Amino acid sequence: MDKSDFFKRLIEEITDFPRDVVLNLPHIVMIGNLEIDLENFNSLLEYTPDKIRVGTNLGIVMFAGSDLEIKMISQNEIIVTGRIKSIELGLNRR
Amino acid sequence: MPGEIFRYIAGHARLKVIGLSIEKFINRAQSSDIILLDIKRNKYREVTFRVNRYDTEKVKKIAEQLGLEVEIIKESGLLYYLQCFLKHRSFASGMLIFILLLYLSTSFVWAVEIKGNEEIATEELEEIVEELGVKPGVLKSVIDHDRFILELLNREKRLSWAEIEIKGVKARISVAEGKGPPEIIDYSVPCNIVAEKDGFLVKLLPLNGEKAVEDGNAVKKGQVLVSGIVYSELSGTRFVHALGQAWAHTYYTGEAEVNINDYLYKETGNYAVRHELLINDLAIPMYIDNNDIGFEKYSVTIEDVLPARLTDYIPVGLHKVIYRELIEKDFNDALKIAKEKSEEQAFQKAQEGIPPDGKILQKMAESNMTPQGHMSSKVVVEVLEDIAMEEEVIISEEDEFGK
Repeated sequence: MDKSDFFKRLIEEITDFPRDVVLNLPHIVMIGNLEIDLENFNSLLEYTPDKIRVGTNLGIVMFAGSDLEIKMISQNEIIVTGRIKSIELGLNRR
Repeated sequence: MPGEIFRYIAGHARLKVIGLSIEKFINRAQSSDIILLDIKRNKYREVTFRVNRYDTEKVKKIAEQLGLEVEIIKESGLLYYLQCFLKHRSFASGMLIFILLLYLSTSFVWAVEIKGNEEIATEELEEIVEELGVKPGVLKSVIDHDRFILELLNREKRLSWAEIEIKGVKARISVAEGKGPPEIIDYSVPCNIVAEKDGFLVKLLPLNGEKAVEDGNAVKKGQVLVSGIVYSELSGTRFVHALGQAWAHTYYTGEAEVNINDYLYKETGNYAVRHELLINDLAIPMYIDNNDIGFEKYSVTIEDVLPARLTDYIPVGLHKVIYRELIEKDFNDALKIAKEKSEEQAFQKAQEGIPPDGKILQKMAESNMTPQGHMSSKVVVEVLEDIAMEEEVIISEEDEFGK
């Protein structure tokens, strides 16, 4: 754990701020296997109807399934719909 | 929510992007603050998505930089439709003219409605109202409310109150009739009270003058009931204005004849409907099969389908012809109904002559069959009414000097 991370965790613990905001981590909300709402991401790395890979601060997040569609993509939010079968977190740090 | 409304007003465009670096394109668009919606990858090299119409140019620029092809599939939204609409100039100007004409037509009076009058005929009032400038085709703004009412009340003295209300394209005039002052009786004119019609005198109430007939006598029309010539030994002959009431039994008769055939049939409930188009009184049948209706006996009624107000303006009408099947009834029943109907008609005819203050005492009816197969009825109505009528006494010089 580097210094900045240490301070961030300290602030989070003292102030009760949302963890994902303070630590700049992706926030994933799933509605069954129908929809995924991913906030705080960096870039879209790959998009096919079977697989979507998104780059985040944590590493690469991959959704696999079928008939995948990106319902909306804006600067810090991506909503994916379709039949989602799996989520994979390819952590590259920590 | 305001954003949603703005987005709807601006509209959306559905685009197709073809090329290799599609992920790169999406990332570029995302970082340039363009929101992409409903992204769907159809083929490896092709993606379709929806974007706000204002961002289309930005999207095109990014695609150009990345060497991608862009195609607009569909556009929608209020602003887009407005643009399309304005492209067709003649249509837009036609629409504008239509709205203008509609607005202009609503600034005229289309119909005048008068209500509240009982004794004054509506036609009479309509004529006056028209002369005062309220008629179909007049600009609504031209009508001066207060002046119109004042002039209407001045012109028609029998009215005690009037109001004009303009609702939409209708001018509604409400009036109230006032009761005029009672007639002034000129007591200086000597007159008799005579019988207005034949009758059987029940009660004679002389208020002024001398009683000429006793109660319980039959009187003839024109017979003097209360005399205006009063003679006494002290003052000699005096001429007075006789006053009085004469309550008498009077008789009114009415006769009517109906055809029994009119009541010999009744409806079975079966009916057939045909339509006819009417152009300038020329009826054009609107049915293809010209076959017989299929009823042995039937009645025909014609109804107007279009409202009369519409057919007043255009010479086209639509008639609905209804054929109702008829079946013969029992003859005695028909006879009974015919008798009732003819008596009713005869009574109505008799009633026409009865004054409003007359009280119907009894009704006698007699019905007979005529050789032509008609039912003939005669109704006699006995009425209690005041038959007193004033009649001026013509005084000759001889009378004046009491010779």
